[in-house]
Order: sequence, then structure tokens, then C-alpha cells
Amino acid sequence: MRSNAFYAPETIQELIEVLELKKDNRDFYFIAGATDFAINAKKHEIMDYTAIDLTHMDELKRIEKVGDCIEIGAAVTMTRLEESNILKDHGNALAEAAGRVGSTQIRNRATIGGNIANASQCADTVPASCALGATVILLDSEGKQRELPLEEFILGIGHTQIKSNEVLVKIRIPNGRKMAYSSFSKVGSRKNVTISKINCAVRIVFEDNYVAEATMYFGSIGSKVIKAVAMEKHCIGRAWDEKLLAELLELGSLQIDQAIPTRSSRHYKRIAVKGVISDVFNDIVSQRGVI
Amino acid sequence: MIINAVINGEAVEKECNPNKRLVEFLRDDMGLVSVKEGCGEGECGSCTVLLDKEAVTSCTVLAGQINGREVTTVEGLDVMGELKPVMESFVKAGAVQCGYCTPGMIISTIALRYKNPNPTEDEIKRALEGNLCRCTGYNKIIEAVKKIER
Repeated sequence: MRSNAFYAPETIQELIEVLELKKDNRDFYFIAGATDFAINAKKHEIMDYTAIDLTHMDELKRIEKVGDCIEIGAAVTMTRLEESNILKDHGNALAEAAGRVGSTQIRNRATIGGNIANASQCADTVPASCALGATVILLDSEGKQRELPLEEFILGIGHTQIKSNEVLVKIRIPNGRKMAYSSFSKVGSRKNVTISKINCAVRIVFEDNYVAEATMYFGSIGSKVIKAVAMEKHCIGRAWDEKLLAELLELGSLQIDQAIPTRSSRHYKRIAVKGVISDVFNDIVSQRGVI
Repeated sequence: MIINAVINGEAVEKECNPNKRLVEFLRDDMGLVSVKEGCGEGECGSCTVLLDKEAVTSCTVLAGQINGREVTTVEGLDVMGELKPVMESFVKAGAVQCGYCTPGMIISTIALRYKNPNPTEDEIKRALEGNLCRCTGYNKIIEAVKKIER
């Protein structure tokens, strides 16, 4: 079916009604910031399609504390993520990641929901959200919601578990604990307005000056984010000092060797990884110093 | 679809294909040719406009998405009297050569000043990072933004 329709639901009920129409049609596209869509439409010559605009859904533009969690609407822009005080306090890695996406114009439009659902291997908010233990909440055409871990939701480049009658409505992250710190860093081919060649997000919980919990993710290496399990384990019970950093740098290179043993980019990335690990390590040092 | 939006300060009601890009709507349907298309991928910033007072690349917005919103281009800034001090500063600093990027640069500058009337050099650079200029080498543009008279 070729069409050129445009739906702009404003409430969850209206969104559910559009999902009912969408489920049997392949030419329906969710559009939020359209920063990825516009490029794809041009590249693949998508001329006639039905757009479901999510930018008029005020309900999906909020960042709020709900119980023990922080809920982020899928249509929250990178600019709002970066400026959010709630995130600065409880999900700093995500605020930092959002601030490093694209340019000012892109950050004013691009949304976290789009960044996640588009499932690019280079997405910056994905490793940051994973490090914060994020889950995604999907809404279907019957009005039912399901929640699953973000890491499981993304299957590979451009592929997610979303069904044709579902839409990503929220990202949920556990509320940060008192001694929890998180950070994000990336390397691209230039300083700003750059797509990650490698990025890294960590969340560290301290107890009496020693690491009690560590979560570390790398993005832009393979088709999915990589959980750096060996590095995480290595941190437990340790003081956050230069000795630990030196060991983490070596483990980081090892992680790259294991993840992409045959790729030519391995030689660059096994060195570049040390840069992003140093960045997040030092950022956590300075965050602890301030508080 | 009939689009209802405030464009350059005036309420506009216009029939158009909602799935065409905002840059095409502004240029072809509204005759606002200060909006230039460059890369068409949100990278170069020459099509930058204000959408609800924030800078966005109009090649990555669908026309239907501006329904109920406010869009401002350089033409509108002129009518509202906001263009003159910025334009004069650009001219004085020699920040305009071929001029293709200039409308986008001006819009990004105005958006920055809405949020931050006294930006530092780093803040100026960040606000303009999404606007490419292949002539000036940027120094004169940054100078121009610094020296805008109030």
C-alpha cells in the first residue's frame, strides 16, 4: 500500500489507535526528531509513507522520578537529557552521552527513543543507558505494556525486539544510590559533531572508598554493546587509584582483541580504548572530589 | 493536510504534503529562500531555522511536525527587528564570504543568545558546531558573535 498519511497522536489512547492501524502495514514509520529518518528516507528513496509523529506526545517528553526509578519518555531530546538535573544527580553518564551527540541542532531534535530504537552500533545513549541498568517499556496496540532490559531489546544493527504493533514509550533506570557515580566518553574522527568509533560508559558504587559495584559497557565495537565483565570484576574491592587504572587499560585492550580479533580496526581500537577508559576513570575521580 | 503554524510571527494555514521536509515547505510553499539546503542530512546547518525558539535543521523535520508550533527564519528576524545587530556584526567582522552558510549561522547565533545572552567563546563554538562554513575558517564568525551590540 502506498500512502502519504501523517498521524500526530497527542495522548496514549490516540497512540494506541494508530498502533492498531500500523500493525498490518509496512510503510508506517515512527518519526520523532527525524534526524535518522531523514537520512534514511533520502538514502533509500522512501517517497511515499505514513508518518507517526511522536513529537506532539507531551507524555513522552518527561523525565521524572517514579518510585525507585527514573522514567524517561521516549521523545525526550538530547538537549533535555543533557540539561536534566535529575539525570545529573542519578544518571550522569546518560546526560554526558546526550551532550556528545551530533550538533546543537541535532540535539534539539534527536530523541533517546529514536537513538535506542534505531539500534545503531554507534549510538551514544545506548552504552550509557546500559551502564545505568536501563530497561525499555513498550506499549502495544491493545494498550498493554511490557518491560525488558535494554541490552536484550537490541538484537543487532538496526534490529530490536519491537513488534509491528508496538512502540517504545519509556526508558527506566534505577534511581542512583548515594555513593554511585557514572560517566561516559567517546572517540570519533573529530572532536565534535562526530560519530563514535568507540565509546564507553561506566557506573561505579563505592563503599568505604572501595568499589562495591562496577558496570562497564563499550559501544561502537561490534554490532551490539559489549559488557566488559572482566574489567567489572577486576574493580570489585579495589581503591580507585592509578594502579587500578593501569590494569584496566590493559584489560580494555584485551577486551578489544577478544571482541574483534579479525577486524582491521582492532589495531586502532585497542589503543583508543585506553583513552576512553582514562576519560571515564578521571571523570569519576573528579566527581568524587567535588562531593 | 492543512498545517496550522506560526511562521515568522504570523499564523499560517496552508495545505501541503505533511511528509515533505520542512526545508522544502519553507522554500517552495512559503517562499522563504533564506533557508538554504546543503547536505540534506542535518550535518551542515545551512537550513537551520528556529522551531519554538530552538535551532533545528529544517532538512530533518517533516512539515507536518510544525503543526501548532512556531517557526522563524531570517526573514522573520528581520521583520521582528532581531536581525540587524547580528547582521551588522557579521558584516563588520568580515564573517560573510559566499554567504551560503550565513542564514544558518545567524539563526544558531540568535538561538544561543535566547538561552545565553553572554556566551563565552567555548559556548559560541558549541552553539555553532552544527554550522559548516567552507570560506571563512570560522574565526571571523566567532568574532562577529562576540561583538554583537545589544
